Amino acid sequence: MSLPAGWESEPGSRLARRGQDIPLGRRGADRFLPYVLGAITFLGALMLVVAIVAVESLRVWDTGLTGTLTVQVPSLEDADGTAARVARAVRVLEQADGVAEVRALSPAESAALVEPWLGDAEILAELMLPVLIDVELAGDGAVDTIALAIALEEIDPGIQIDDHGEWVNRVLGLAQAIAGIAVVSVAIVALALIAAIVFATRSGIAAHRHTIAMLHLMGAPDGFVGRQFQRHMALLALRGLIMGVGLALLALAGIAWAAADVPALVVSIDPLAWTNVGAVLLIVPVGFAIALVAARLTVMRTLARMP
Amino acid sequence: MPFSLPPLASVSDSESALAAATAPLIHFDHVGLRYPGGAEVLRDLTFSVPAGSFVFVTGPSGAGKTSLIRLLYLGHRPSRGLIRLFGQDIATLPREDLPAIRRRIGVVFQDFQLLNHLSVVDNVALPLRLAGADFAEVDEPVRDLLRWVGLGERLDASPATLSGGEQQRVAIARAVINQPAILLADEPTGNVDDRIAARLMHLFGQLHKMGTTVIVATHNKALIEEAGHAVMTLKDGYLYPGLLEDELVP
Repeated sequence: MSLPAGWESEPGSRLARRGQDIPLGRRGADRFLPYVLGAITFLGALMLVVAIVAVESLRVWDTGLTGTLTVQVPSLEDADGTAARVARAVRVLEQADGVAEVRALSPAESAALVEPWLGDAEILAELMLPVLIDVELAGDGAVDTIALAIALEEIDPGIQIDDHGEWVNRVLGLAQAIAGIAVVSVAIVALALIAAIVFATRSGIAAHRHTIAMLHLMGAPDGFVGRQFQRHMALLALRGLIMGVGLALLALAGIAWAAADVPALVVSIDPLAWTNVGAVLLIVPVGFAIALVAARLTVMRTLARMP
Repeated sequence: MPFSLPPLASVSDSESALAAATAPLIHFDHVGLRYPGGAEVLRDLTFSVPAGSFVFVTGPSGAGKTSLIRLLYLGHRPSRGLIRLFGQDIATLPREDLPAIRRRIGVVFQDFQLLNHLSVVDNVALPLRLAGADFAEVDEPVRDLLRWVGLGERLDASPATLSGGEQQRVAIARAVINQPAILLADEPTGNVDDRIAARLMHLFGQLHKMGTTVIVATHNKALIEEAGHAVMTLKDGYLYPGLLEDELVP
């Protein structure tokens, strides 16, 4: 027997129906849920990217700056004198235990480092910039910096050794704080998503209490009623999640476009890196699963309190 | 004054196919019902209804007829006492077993309780669908029954567009469509004319002959006398055997 127009088969069930047994979505109470969830998802996606960038920066700074030293040799008006002292300093450093590689930066390289803050090359040429020597430490990065400082002081008392410890610690502390706040924010956003689903599900059950009671009295199990709410809420959540993730990707693209001409300062940030985009896209299935479980638990618990 | 109704095999139709059933289908033991914050509306009800019985429950308005029906369809739990349906103590039944019990009970509500977002056909088909019937099993019996109760032209209408009498016939069709083991009807003829009322009582009689236990709450004296089935009277929350003449609508 063929089904009349308007009837649809329900996969996995022998039941056939037209329309909904519970008129979900017709009373408008949950009409705004996708927009609310979209806004929540948008904020959550951005915070997730902030967390990923902060954690990635932590990793880069931690591995990039520990295990290195920077030695500053003051410049003199006598360029040859400066070069001679730099050469001596390089030799001292190369002979020190625990040093893997020593490289003196050229004046152009030093100027490039400060150019973003101090301006163009003409001004920099008038300044007596110190000569920088990059020192890469071997193995676990253990080196006797005090002995090195004494040896270098004999060349020029103005030579400074910077193991980046203080700077690294302060920046790492800031990055850790940002990462922590971002992670907490993502968790709060996830809780807000759950709360929105729970509230909407409870409201839906309250709005359709009479219909649900009638279905119960005719022998509908909680699962029959629960599946209809679960499916409805999950679809609403999916719309909101896709909306929020779409907006977040647009925002990331906008940030990437705006940052395209800005030179990398402290860390190079690519908002559209695959890790960021992948994590944002992952919000959809994860959020959908959370919404599904939240709706299911809410509806089954609420139904269990009904006659 | 509370009483224990004798097994209805002795007072209901002797012709009834299942009147000789051994265990009572319905058993109330000192049952009371009090709504939250209110007085006790049913008091110390003790009676048994064997399978295959046809019983009228009568009494004045507010006597507790609807509350008794509500207890029978598991729409409310008793405040005290024991209720056994199909041989099972409903107080100890796990929640997941209630739907199976409810699917064996058809109810005609006094205020119909139709689902207005579904068509007439879908309302009547719902109990069959909840029982897991195939579409092929659902469609024709539903349409035939609706035609039989005089609603063949209103199959796809919304219940909200029907008259009170038409809604009542839809409610009755929905209650009897899956041939329940127990049929509960709360004032089923209150909104229909005599011709339809006779037809509905004939339908109930047919179901009864097929083994359905029928319990009809009504204050219609003529209906009760014409049918000639067992009668219980509720008054002030207590249940009495037979008719109390002064409490009925002639």
